Amino acid sequence: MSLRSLVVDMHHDAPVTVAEIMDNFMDHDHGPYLHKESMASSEILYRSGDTCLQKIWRTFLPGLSLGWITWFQPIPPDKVLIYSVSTLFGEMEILHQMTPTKEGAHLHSRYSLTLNLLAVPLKSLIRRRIVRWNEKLWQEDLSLLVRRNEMLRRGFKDGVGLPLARPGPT
Amino acid sequence: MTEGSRWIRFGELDEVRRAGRLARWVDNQEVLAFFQHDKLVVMSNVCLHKGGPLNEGQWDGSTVTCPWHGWRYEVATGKCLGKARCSLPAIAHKVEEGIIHVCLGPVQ
Repeated sequence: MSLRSLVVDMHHDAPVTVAEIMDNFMDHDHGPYLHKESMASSEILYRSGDTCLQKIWRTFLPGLSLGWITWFQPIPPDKVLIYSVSTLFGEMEILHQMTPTKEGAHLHSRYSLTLNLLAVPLKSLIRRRIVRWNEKLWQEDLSLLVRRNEMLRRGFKDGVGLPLARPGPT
Repeated sequence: MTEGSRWIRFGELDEVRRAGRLARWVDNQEVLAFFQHDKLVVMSNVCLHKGGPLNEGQWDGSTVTCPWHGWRYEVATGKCLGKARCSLPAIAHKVEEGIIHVCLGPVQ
């Protein structure tokens, strides 16, 4: 591995299906709200189907957000590739791969970075930030996934809501 | 009141006072209760967009913004303030001896 390379692997399990995690990845609009602490802002520059090009301001340290141009490419049925470029840090490819498990699904996220030379001394800090960033994003996504799963189980329809309660005696 | 509807116990007024905002499932609805200007407000806690929890959203007094995708609602009426022309389902309530009861309509 070269001096400029950095690879971080993260693993998570969720009590939902692979398809539900994929749906969440393809929901490009929740970033600035659900992940507002990690993503200071995001702007969709181009969108075609589930693929999109975004400018994302990721919070690197408190009070310091860095812009990344990000290409988001779902690879159905179980992979998502995210390729980002930052003028300060270099390139970052994130491959999310999902596999079904007995309890739901397993998510393996591999962050592969090619750092700019100026960012090499920050390698260990960047690794720690990626781990923390991934954990935080995952906890936020997991809460959405679990609740959404529950909503759908109860008959929720997007844009309509839940069916009303069953009638009973007055 | 709609025919076939019924009053269901939601909880105690004191619980709402202690919690600030209290969300709880009643039958198939997640109901949110809170005080606004000393008046008890009872509304749906489920964003119509994708089902986000409104009690965890951003509250600015007269509106609430869903924490998932930013759909905004007028608290007093439940009306969605975005492009979508919709409103949260109305949930009638009454308080008897410090106990809040809510009334949910029948399945249409």
